[in-house]
Amino acid sequence: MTARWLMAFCVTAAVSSAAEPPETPACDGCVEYPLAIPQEPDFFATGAPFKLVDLRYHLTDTSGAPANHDFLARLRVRDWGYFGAQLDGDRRTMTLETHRLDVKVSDLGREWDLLGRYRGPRLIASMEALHRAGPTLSTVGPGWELRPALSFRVARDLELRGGATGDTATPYDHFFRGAEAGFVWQPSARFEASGGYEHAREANETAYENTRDSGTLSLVDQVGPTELSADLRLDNVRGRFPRTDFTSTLGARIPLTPRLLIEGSGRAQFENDLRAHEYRGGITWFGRRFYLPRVGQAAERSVDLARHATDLGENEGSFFDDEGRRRQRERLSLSPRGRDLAAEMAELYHAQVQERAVPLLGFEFVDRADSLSGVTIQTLQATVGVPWPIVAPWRAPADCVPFLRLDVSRERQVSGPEVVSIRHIVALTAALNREMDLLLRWRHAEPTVLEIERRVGARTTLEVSYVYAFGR
Amino acid sequence: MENDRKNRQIERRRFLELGAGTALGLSGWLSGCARYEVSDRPASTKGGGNNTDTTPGPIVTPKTNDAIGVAPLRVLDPGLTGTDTIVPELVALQMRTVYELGFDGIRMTASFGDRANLLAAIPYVRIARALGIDGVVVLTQFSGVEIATALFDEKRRAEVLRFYAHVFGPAPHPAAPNVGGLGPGGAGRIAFQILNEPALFFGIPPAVYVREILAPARAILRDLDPKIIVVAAAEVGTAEGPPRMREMLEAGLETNCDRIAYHIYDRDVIRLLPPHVRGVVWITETGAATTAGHLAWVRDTYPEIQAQLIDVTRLFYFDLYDGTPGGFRLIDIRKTATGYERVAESADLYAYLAGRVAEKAAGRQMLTFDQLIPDVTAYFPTADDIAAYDALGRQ
Repeated sequence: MTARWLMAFCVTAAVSSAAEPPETPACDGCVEYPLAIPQEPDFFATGAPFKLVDLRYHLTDTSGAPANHDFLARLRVRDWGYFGAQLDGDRRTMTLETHRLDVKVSDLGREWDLLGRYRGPRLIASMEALHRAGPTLSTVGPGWELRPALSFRVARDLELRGGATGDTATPYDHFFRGAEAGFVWQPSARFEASGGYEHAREANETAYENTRDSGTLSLVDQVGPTELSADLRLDNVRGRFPRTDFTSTLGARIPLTPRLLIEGSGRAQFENDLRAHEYRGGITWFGRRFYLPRVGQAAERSVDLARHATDLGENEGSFFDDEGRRRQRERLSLSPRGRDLAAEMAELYHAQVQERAVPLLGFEFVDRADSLSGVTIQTLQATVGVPWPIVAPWRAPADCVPFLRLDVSRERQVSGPEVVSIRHIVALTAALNREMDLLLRWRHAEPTVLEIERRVGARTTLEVSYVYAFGR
Repeated sequence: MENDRKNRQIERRRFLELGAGTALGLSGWLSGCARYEVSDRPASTKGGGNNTDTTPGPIVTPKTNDAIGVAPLRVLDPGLTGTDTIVPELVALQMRTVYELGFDGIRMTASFGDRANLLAAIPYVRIARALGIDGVVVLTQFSGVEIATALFDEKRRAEVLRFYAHVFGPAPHPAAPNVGGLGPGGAGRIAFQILNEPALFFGIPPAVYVREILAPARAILRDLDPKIIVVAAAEVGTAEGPPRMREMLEAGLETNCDRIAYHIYDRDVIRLLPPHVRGVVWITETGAATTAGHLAWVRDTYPEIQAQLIDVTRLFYFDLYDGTPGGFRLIDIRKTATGYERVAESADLYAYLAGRVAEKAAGRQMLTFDQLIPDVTAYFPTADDIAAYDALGRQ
């Protein structure tokens, strides 16, 4: 019944869209897509009464298991807000987003996830409630986990955050389970810092819980043409079996030429000795000049938009990815002051289009190991891109756009008594335009030693996905 | 230092007694408490006077040197490797050494899926118990994963454990009235160690091992025979081990076994292991990798382990004999024209252990192994044992 109801909405939206004057495919500032879209989306277009803004369908079919369907639709309701509904297997989710208020209700059997958030000019207050239908440990029974949170925008570029966690099941006779405080500082497009402190009680299967004090610090800095990043985390666990873990991740992305990017990162977790690591290295050749997220006009305009919006009482941070910017535009389009930001939103959109990445050939190698589980994994991935218009890769014009992309990866996992299991993934993505993708993915995985012991054999998975995201 | 250690022992027992009486609000906690048997001979007292055979006449060799790992050696001749042959002289030679050096426990792998070696383990364990020596049977295998597959499967798990309990569970008659074992009638006790180093040999994460392997296995064994001591698997004895042990403990290890086990092959590991747990700890493997380090390991590292890890009541030296010269093994075994001979390859340690026995015996005449066990084949696998194994089948 829910599915039929969703389909009805989509049909209505489709009909209402069809009632609008047909859009003439146009050259998007000399950028042409396989499937034409307007040069500039109308971010303020109201539904009549609905406008479809998100439509996603994802099918996962694994041998020996029932297929899973994940269907999502989001509609803009006039200029009031966005209403969304998702069916992911047995999980049902509904969302409502207005100018100031967000509400989410999600249910999987009796496992509820409820979220309410209010975004004020300087303050964002939220409360999330998660219901556990059954015990997760012998010391943690069914109940509600409550997570109130507050963030306060102290200045245009600085946000302070705080939150707490309580559990009505009162594990170890404690309702209060933790608290955290943090900050996000975005003084410019080229630099961002965030960090925080958390104190948490952690239940386990013994009569004595642990308390964990954690400190985190994340930095991103664009130094000349190079993007450097660092994530540091220190966990001090007190309890019957105390320990201190330190995890650091350092990364660098360096354009060797305007169209050639090398990147690498290393994550290491220490507890007395090196306990786990992940090392990545990759190289990508692009069909046109590649812009790192914090370089170029899009990055500068993201910061300008966020600052101007905050000055108008919209409490916005800067985003450097397409999805984050899109959701920000959705929020601002509902604001009574939104029209004051229309030009900046359009400029940002155009900058994103101009700075689009068109990968032609890429390789990435990842090496991971964790001494706790005794598992090591090496992954090699290759990417081949065919841009639009279709030409030989070395003749890709500056106005090309991403079209077809083939990703092939081979993962080698060693576990237990040197048992090797290989996983292959082949994925073909067709980007019909900036807003619409089709994906076909095939995966074949040999069982790990643990899966062999659990009598799980080799598995083949087929995935099919369709994504429509208006204004991306 | 000895008084400090005894005081900590007393404090720990009082802690456990108090802990058993404290309402913790956890329904399964009290019923699942590890069976701390006060009669576990604390390692430090084994040189003391509370296990001396006081009967008149020749005495049973004093059990003064803790425990040792023993391989189910059945043949030395490569030509016999593919058969089911168990050479009685080899069984007698190893067990004679165990007896004469005053060990009070043996640990032996009964390798599931390896028919010949599993059946070979039977006489060793039975002879040990007849001599009042505890037997720890390790339910594992060194190649393949059939045992882990069986223990994950609810139906198969019960079949396999029923087999092990049927074959290894019943106590043999004590070889003499004064053998001084802690089991029924003075025979040695029986313990099952559920897998060995599960992350290394079977790729089983620590918490998964406790929840899905150890807990259900213990429940079944308790129903089959409450006298079987259930020993948890230890993790590797190097730096990777302690975090895995910690994960096991936080997943409920203490309430799902009768003995917690560690392995220690690196002195730096000692300080990384939890110094105090709710239960009894056995170090089921420990030793030095080269002959030159053997004596120092027993003489110096054993006391360090006992001082740091106050719940340890037993250490199993690794090992009596294996095929690698100059490595871990205490003795070498060679074929001669008339049979087999034992060579004390780790001469210093051998002499040290023998000296402790002699000191404890204080000049009294000791019964010989051959007097107590005149015929090792009496403890060999029976037709019933073989039929039980063959009925289990391979899956």
